[in-house]
Amino acid sequence: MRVVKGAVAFKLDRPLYGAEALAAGALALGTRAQVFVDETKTAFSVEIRPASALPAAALLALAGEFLNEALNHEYRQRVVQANAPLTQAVFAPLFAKGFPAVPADPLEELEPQVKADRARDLEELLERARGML
Amino acid sequence: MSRLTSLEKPPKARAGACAPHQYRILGRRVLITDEHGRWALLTRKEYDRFLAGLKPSDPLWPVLQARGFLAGAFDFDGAARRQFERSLLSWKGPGAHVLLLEGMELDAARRIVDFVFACPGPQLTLELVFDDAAPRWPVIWFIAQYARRRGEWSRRPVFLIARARTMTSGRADFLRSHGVTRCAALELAGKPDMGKGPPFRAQRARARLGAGAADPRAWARWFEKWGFESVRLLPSGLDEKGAAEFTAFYAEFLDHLIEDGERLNLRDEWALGMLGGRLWNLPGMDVLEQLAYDGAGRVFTSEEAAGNEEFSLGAVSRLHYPDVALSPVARAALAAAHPDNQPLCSQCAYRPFCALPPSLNRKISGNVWGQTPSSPACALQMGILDRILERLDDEKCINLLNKWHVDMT
Repeated sequence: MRVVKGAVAFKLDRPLYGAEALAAGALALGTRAQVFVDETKTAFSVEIRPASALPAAALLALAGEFLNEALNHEYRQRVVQANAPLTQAVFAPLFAKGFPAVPADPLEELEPQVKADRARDLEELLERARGML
Repeated sequence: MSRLTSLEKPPKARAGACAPHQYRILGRRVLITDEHGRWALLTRKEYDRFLAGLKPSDPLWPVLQARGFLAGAFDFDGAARRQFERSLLSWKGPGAHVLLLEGMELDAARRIVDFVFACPGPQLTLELVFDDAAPRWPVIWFIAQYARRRGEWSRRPVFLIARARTMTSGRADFLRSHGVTRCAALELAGKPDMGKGPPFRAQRARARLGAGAADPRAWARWFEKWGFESVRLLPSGLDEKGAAEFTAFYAEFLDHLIEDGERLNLRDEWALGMLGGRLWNLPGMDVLEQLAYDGAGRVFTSEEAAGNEEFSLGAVSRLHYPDVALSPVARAALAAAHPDNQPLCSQCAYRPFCALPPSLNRKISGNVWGQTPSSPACALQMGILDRILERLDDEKCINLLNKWHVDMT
């Protein structure tokens, strides 16, 4: 890891890190820095330029934050893949059926007067509340 | 860096002897848990024997067999039932709805209550949050009355909570007489003044540790003296220092509750929420446990997320509850909340009891997934569970949990 001209630069081996992991690392830094990436067949070259001038220790901390998130992302993807058969069995039916709302009250459906009484009740409550304003 | 513990010299394990489990070293003992929340606290020697394969003549055999830890005597039907009950397949919908009353008009309040009652689930909780009751009183009064009526019409139990910093005793009495639980938002500073009570009579407290909060046992006595029934302690800040201070304070607070459990009527809301062992019971869990509504009538995935557009599900005037499942925000929150999708959580002994809300991860780490190994929120929740679960072989602790209707048998 090198600190050069107010930026920090380093290389990451390709088999270990993917482009998505680098994007996740960049996202973690948000607007605090710009991240520039170049690639060869075997490695990524990364340069992090802070939005405002930082001392060397802070630059290294920024790079550490980037690497933490990149590694976290890469490892999380492996965990997600490994557990996919279990989590898919839970999430697939949950999303497939959606979140069904409570059906309409059958009493209101069968007896229009009930619905009208309740609407009147609500109006009275609103009226009393407005009177407190 | 990891918060998980590991044995320096792992004992030899015999294939096929133990059912799948996670372990955590707690002092001189080893806690084992399975994914359904069953547990056992073993000595190091007992754990070695367990891994090597217990003989049916071993006194530990019936204990661990009954708890489902022996591969050769595994109750598959029971495990399937427990798995179904505890997984999201049994989730009915968010049970807690946090209404942030700042700037809320009556019309928005009505729409929000209507939206809440479109959510399924056997019971609903509406928590009204405000600083001072006086300027918000018409809206508070209306929600208390209308939600009660809607509960009667839909024949569903409705729990109303009013969380405030201050209110007059007259208003507190009105809420009590209308079955609204009062919750005082407090900041604990220094040692308690036993002669000075809270700003209003309340059953619950949301107590943030303030500057130099000290003497947790005295604070427990203070809460009891002033009639509180349950407390949820909160850290002073979400950083490593705040988490460490909180854990130390919480440990002593819990010790006091356990030691004086027979007499005290004070409950710890962390234990109640986490030991339930369901993702949708964890306090503040986005979408699963709660939804939040701001004064403008916008719906958010949780109170923590309120005000952050990234977590907005839409305006209550246009949003229909079934649309929540289609929302990319809700889907991302659900996926990120599940411990099986988190590297550290998926290996953790506390997986059945714990997870971090994605909105909290966003706040701490900048994304919904978070970085559990460096997250102070993870340190805090693991600290809480360490304190509770290391006491599970203490009869006083089990008696207290039974008194709180937490089933850890």
